[in-house]
Amino acid sequence: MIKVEGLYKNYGDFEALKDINLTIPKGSVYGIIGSNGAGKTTLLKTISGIYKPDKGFAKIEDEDIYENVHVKKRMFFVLDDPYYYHNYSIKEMASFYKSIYESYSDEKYENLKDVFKIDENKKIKNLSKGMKRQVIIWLALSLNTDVLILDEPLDGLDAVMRQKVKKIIFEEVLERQLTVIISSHNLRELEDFCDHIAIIHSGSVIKEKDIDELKNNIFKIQFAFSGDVPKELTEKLDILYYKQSGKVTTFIVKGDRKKAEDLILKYEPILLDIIPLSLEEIFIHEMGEAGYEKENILL
Amino acid sequence: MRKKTYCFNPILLNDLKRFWILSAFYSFILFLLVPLKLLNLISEHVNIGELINSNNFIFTYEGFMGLQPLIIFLIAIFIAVALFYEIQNCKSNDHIHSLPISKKDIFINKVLAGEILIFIPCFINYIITEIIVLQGTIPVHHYKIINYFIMTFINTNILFLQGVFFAVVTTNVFLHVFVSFAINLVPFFIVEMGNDLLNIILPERLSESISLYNLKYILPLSYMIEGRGVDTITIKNIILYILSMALLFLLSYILFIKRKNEDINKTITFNFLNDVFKYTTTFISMIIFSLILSGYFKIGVTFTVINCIIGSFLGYYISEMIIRKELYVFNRLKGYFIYLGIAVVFLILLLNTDLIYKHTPPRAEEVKEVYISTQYNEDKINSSYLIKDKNTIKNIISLQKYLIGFKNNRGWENQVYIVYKLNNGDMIKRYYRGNFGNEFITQMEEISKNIQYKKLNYDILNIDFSDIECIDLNYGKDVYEVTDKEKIRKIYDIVCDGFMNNKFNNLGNNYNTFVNFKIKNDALKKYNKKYGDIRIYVNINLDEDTINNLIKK
Repeated sequence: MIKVEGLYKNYGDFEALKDINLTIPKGSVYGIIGSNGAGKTTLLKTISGIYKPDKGFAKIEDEDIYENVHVKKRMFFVLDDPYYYHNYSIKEMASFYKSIYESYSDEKYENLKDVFKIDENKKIKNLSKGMKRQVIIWLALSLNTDVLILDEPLDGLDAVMRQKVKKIIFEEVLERQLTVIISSHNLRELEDFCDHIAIIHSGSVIKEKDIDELKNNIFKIQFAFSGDVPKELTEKLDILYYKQSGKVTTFIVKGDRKKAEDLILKYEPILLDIIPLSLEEIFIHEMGEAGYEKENILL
Repeated sequence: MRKKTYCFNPILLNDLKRFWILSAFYSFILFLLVPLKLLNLISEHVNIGELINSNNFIFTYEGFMGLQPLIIFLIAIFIAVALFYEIQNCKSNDHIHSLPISKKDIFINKVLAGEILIFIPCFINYIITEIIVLQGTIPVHHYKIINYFIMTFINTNILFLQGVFFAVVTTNVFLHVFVSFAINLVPFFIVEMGNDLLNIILPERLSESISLYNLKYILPLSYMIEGRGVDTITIKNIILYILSMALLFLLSYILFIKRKNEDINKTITFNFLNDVFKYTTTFISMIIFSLILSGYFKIGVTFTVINCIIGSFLGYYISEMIIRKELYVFNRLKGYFIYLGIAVVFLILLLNTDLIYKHTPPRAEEVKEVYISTQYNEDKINSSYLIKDKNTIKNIISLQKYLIGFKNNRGWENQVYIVYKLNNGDMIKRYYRGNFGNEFITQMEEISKNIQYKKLNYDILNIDFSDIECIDLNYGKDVYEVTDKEKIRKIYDIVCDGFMNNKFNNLGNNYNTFVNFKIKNDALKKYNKKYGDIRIYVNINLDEDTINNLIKK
């Protein structure tokens, strides 16, 4: 289990991370989403031990990560812009990682060779952006570490390859309880991939939840009454968004789904439809609540 | 118990694998410089004397038309840049620090890789040279070969470690190379050019020659460029070289460990070094700019001060641009105005008070002894011939007061050097040059009447007649050599008598005879001269009869 508690990170006078508290269970796929400049990459770099926390801690199994070689051997960080040694082929890069990570598996490397179908003797610098991405994921999975931290890992991959990569990672999670921490701007991508989500804004975590719980907690209701919308509804429901279109009213509501349904049914609506929100919509509304400009993006 | 893990091999081997080519290149360069030259000498069948001379030339840093020190520097710095670029670039810095390798191991492995890359070329070429020399056709001492290669290894190593230090504190490769180069020259530069600048502002100031060559242990490049040859290995040298390497290593190591990985986006990774860089650049730019323009236009103090202001502004602005990575930094000039304020206060104190620089002459009772002459002679200043007579000292002080009134007189007619040695051990050195008028001659003539002045300025008065070997007499267009004892005695007496009775002095130019006394070699010791010869030149006036009498065979 990875635990982050009271974590602060500053860049000079700028507070990049403020009092971050996260619990990442073993064997989970933990998504970190947030607006641009929210602090996602800083958080990942702190969790991976690149940055030293100014205050608080990031630990794996109760051991600090920063400058802890033994802990870091159990994790690998796929940077948003992966780095390769100039002139190195995939094979040479693999051999470099092999010399550092005791958990490296030749067998896994060979197996994944068939999945990615890239010539291992090719110089990485000559590959396309998407292929470079595939290479780093290939190498990352071959290391067989307990934790994999991925910063925008699917950027530049085609749709087929994205599904393949996700599938392989899922298998790793299921087979050997691999813990994956992933940040992405592509929320649709995370929706069917993560089991936990943390929404980060201006350096703070504004929501950290199991994804199903999060989805149950925020939903869209469309209804229509023969008369006006009863006042009790607007008073008793935690409405994030309200839209009236003729007789049809749309609410985005936060809270207990059943209670909200019962409350509306009490007034005998002529139409009632409760629709789950996508992760992207949840993100937009949560961010809106945190003060992020959403008017322009809501349709 | 958990086993302690070291990550020596992966990083070290990886770096050696990536950068062995630099080592190969250095091996090739050293091969051209030593073994190949020796092989050439053998093939040309030159004689032993020529070989020995050539060997002296080979085992110096004068190869590649004097560019050898720069080539060694560039190789050392390229090795440092190649190895440490990984911690200067944002992407690679994040990568290496995300790996399970401690900062300590990263640093030690990289330095070790550099040491190996430098050591191998020196060692290989040492072996090749020894093999060539062991063939027996070249008379070279083995100590000379080993001395050369050890010193080359040490010097390259120090330059490499300087490069490591600057790799840790800056993330800009250009700045890294430039500062590594500049640091070797800056102390010498500041002293030399700072002296020149002060001499423009204070023309009567006589700069002390300051030897900075003990800095060779930590800044070897300028020592090598100066063509001082290869330092000889002594216990003292070895200790000092090892200490300077250890100092550079430790300093870089501590800074690397302290360096925050997220500061990779800054040009200079430590805030306190931003100020060091900024104000050093400001100061150097001030000196260079003002010296170039003042030297070019040959205009006085006011113009120099204006140039100083412009030069320092440019230095400050550019360094601020580099640090901030912005073109427009006019809103960050607070530090410059503080610098300017301090500089103005310093200049006011320098020009108008005796706090930093003594403008007014000392009081007579403060002075122990004085050197005064139209020529500067360091040996005389340190000799026992200085003027101690209180009245003459007062006259010299009075003369100096008179000369101070001629501050901006830039003529060439008269010049005088005055050096006071004070009772408290201090020394005040002044040089006045200009067209000072008859009053100057009158006062100097008064001073020159003193016997101590005469002994100080006219060497012939300190020489025994019996030590004179011969005299060259330059009269008109002819030169007459006088070897006859009696004639020598006569000339000697005329000259000494002339000086003692104030018939001649070294103030005027209206003399018709130039006399050159040559002293016997076996008397050199008596006059504290270990080698060379003593020749004394004097200008006198001789009438035609005396001349004819002297040159008559």
